[in-house]
Amino acid sequence: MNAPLARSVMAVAMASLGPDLRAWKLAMAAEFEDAVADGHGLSFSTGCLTTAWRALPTHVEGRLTLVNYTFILGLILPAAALLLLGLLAGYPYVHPVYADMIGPFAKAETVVPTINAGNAAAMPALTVLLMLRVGSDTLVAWFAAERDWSRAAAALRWGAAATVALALFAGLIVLDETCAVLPASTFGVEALVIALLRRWHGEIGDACATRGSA
Amino acid sequence: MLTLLAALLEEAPGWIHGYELMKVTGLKSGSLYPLLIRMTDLDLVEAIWREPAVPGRPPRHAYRLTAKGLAVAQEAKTAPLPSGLAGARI
Repeated sequence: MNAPLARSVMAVAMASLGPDLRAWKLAMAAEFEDAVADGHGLSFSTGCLTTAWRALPTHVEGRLTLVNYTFILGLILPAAALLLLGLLAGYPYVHPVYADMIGPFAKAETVVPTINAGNAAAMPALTVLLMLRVGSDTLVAWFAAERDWSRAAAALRWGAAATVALALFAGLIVLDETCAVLPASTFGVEALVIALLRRWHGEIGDACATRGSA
Repeated sequence: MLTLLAALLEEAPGWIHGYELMKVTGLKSGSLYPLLIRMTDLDLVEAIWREPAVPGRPPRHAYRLTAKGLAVAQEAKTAPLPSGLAGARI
């Protein structure tokens, strides 16, 4: 039971150690097998993980990893959670509690949307659009954590399509432009964050390649 | 660090593996490796790759004190906390 967990923790530790500590990474991995054989694999791997995380701020890749996870956990996932909470609270079918606050920023007149016989049939479609947007945010966070920028960009495009469709249909159906403000603004933040992270990773990758070939 | 220096001094001039060091000193890997990394950077400890005793296993890192490390370890043995290692307690 402990051995698979220890191996998982060890894999995270190995992935967290930077290129400057490559020899130490191999050294720890070699000793790990003896620790597992003695039944101390989990405590050994946890120690290696602690070592790796303590060393993160000391190398450029580690700092970038920290920045990456700060943006993912601090911006992208909270944005997705905010949209999901809005969905659970009735957005965009009922007047959202934050519409009065964000309306002035968007220079939009807040109109209380009401469900009536004319627009009620469209509500499930709006729900699906918003859920697609939440799904795309989750995928963006996942691929950003994996540093798979082409898939993160594809998920962003999916989110952009869902946001535009939501803005168009919500504007027409519930006659409230503020419906689009929150999804659009969170999308803007995410796109900016992913573009910055992708650029930094590219610069660091180039720097490492140059250093490696020197 | 003093515990590690004492263990490496006990083993000198022989080499010792990381896991054996953990057993001898009672240090956890989360304490041992940062110390070894730091002591290697300070040129107190040297490391080499050694072929594994068990076939199929990866090569293992073995450690021993350098001449500078030996001097510091011997000084530490007689004087518990040398000036050069002030604040280096584990």
